[in-house]
Amino acid sequence: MKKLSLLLSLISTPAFAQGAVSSEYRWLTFLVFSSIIIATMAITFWASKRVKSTADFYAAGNSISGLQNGWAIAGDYLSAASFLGIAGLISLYGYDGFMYSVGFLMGYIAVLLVIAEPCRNIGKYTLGDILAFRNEPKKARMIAALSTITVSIFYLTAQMVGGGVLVKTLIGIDYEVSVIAVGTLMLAYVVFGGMVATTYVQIVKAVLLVIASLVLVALVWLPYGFSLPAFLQAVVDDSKVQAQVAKLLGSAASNMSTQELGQRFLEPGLFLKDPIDQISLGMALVFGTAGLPHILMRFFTVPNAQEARKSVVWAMAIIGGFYVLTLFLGFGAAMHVGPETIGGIDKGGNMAAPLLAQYLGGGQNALLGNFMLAFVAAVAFATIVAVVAGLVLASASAIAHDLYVNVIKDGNATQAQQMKAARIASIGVGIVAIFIGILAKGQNVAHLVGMAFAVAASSNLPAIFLTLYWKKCNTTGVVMGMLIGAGSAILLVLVSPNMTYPQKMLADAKIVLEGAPAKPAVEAKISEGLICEFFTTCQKREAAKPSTEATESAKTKIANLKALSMRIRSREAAEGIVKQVLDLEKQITKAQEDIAKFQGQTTSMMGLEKPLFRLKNPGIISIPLGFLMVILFSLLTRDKRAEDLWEELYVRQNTGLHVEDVSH
Amino acid sequence: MMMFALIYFFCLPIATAYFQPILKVKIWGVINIGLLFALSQFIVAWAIAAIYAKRANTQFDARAKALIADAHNIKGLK
Repeated sequence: MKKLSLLLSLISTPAFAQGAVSSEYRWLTFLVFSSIIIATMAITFWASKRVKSTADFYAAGNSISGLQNGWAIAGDYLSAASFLGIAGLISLYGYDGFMYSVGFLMGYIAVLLVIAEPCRNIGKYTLGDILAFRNEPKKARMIAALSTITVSIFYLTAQMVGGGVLVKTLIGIDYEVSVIAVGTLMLAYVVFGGMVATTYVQIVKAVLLVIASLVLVALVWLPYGFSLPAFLQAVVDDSKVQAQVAKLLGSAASNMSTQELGQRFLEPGLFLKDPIDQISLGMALVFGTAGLPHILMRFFTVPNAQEARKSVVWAMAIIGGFYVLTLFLGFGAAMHVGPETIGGIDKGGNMAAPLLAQYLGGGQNALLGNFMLAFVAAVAFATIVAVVAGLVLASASAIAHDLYVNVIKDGNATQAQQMKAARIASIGVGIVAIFIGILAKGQNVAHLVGMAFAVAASSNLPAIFLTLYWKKCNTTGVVMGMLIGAGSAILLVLVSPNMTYPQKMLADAKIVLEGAPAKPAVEAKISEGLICEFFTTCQKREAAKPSTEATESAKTKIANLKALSMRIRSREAAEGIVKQVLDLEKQITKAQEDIAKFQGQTTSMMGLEKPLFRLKNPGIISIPLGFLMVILFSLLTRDKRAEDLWEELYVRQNTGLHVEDVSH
Repeated sequence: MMMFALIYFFCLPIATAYFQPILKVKIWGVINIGLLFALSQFIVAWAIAAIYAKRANTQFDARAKALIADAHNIKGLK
């Protein structure tokens, strides 16, 4: 759970400043990158001629077919985080990495069964359109816009930082330059091509991504005659995999055979450890997908509910199929590249797939190897740009369509004014995104994607679901439910272990520098109540811990290693020691930096000495709370309009019949 | 169907947390129940999507059509 972060938003500390591509092949990387950028620019140029009205700009003129939209949704969803991140987690932690894929796919069941068709039938461009149908239009639009912008900004920041780091790690250009490049390119797509360009860029990108993965998987699997047991047997037998498991298990691994160690890689529990947190994360993924504004917006691009349904079914087939491939990419990278190398370049494992591509193409010094690395990297780059474009479009539509046109102007704006507002809002959001991206350099923004999913699940989903399916739902309920749902999710994250706690950082740094004393065994503790499982105000249930031996300080460890190196002859062992020493030295520098940084501080940003909330994912509390508040406030107040419009809404969400056809 | 999907999905984290020994039982070579269970989640997701799409294409669309026809008739009467 600790690295949900690393997975979702691609945050990492790149160890190699010069990038993963060796300098003699830099030209090749630029060639591949520029051809992909030129191709997307050509799409944008073609699309710019087709964008004449706001319907074209926000919804591609309802001209996208179900199949095309399915690919575009897959493109939106298979962001660099899931392509690079999940393959990376599988390569580092085996089975547990794969668990994320399942949650991401299951989210689409909710989209298909609950959201896609009614939203297509009721909405025009935004979440606000759906909520304003029954509820008081101005209030509903304002709260919907607020929520859309909040979710998008969280997601956007994580993507911008992730994109900057990715480009820097791969080709070694500066972080700021990469962020500006991502931002400018994205703005070009959005401002000139609107939803038309964004959609086709997503489709092209998704197709390239699937082709690249299929090629890699075929190459990885071919030597085993496409037999699943034989492939996994090879994973279990691999010494690099076994070494990784031994490292992860620490002292618990000492009496396991090599076969047992390898097998352990295919079993759960190497990465995700807290069951409640895991369920909480699962809830956010499953319910959050249906509330993500940039996914929701995709359903307005198809002509009718049948096409919306078709697009989700296609998206599920593509996304699911792709996630099955990540299993092979991850395990393949673990075998051929090795978890240690992957984790050495990027702690979150994001480089697993690109490095596997390089290996399969003949390695670091082969032309084909570097071409394949560059190709995978360029696809990942295009992914980030396209996902950011979708997010910017979603927030720009909330600002221009909901706030400006319908709240400020009362719906009285000409086409030309609306188009202008849409473009200005896009540029504004884009510039803000670039600024935030640069400001957040080196920050741990990892929890932001998790937060985006949690807010979407606790605020947007309850509001949409109950507006569509519950007769008594009304404006006060929706407004209060969304505020409290989103607010509680954000607040819980702010007091969760995701934030930086100076005292903990100082204590950790001290252990590195000075070593830790031996600790006696601790007896199991019993829980003082259900609430204690979530908050640190009282004791939660804890299993007994065995005693631990004292650890030495990093300096002593280095001295010991150096003494050991005098006695050994083999070259390999000597190299291993050099590596360990370098690693320890890095830890010392990091600890010293931390001490300098946090010395004198005692509390986190929120004024807390230690986390108040035990979990990293707030979903398990904030999602039920969001639903409950919509229900509670709807029951407490009466709203004639919401009741009167219920039947009309019911008919329209099921038939797509236009309002004027039914009401008079 | 939604309920079934949710229950089936949340069985996975619950199983990995509390029933690890079952997931570790090897079935086919090195493949254990845990891997099969995770893969089965994909099958279940696809199956639900397929069943829903089929039902929607035949039954729901027909009903919606009838409703639209009714609405037009009412309008015609006025």
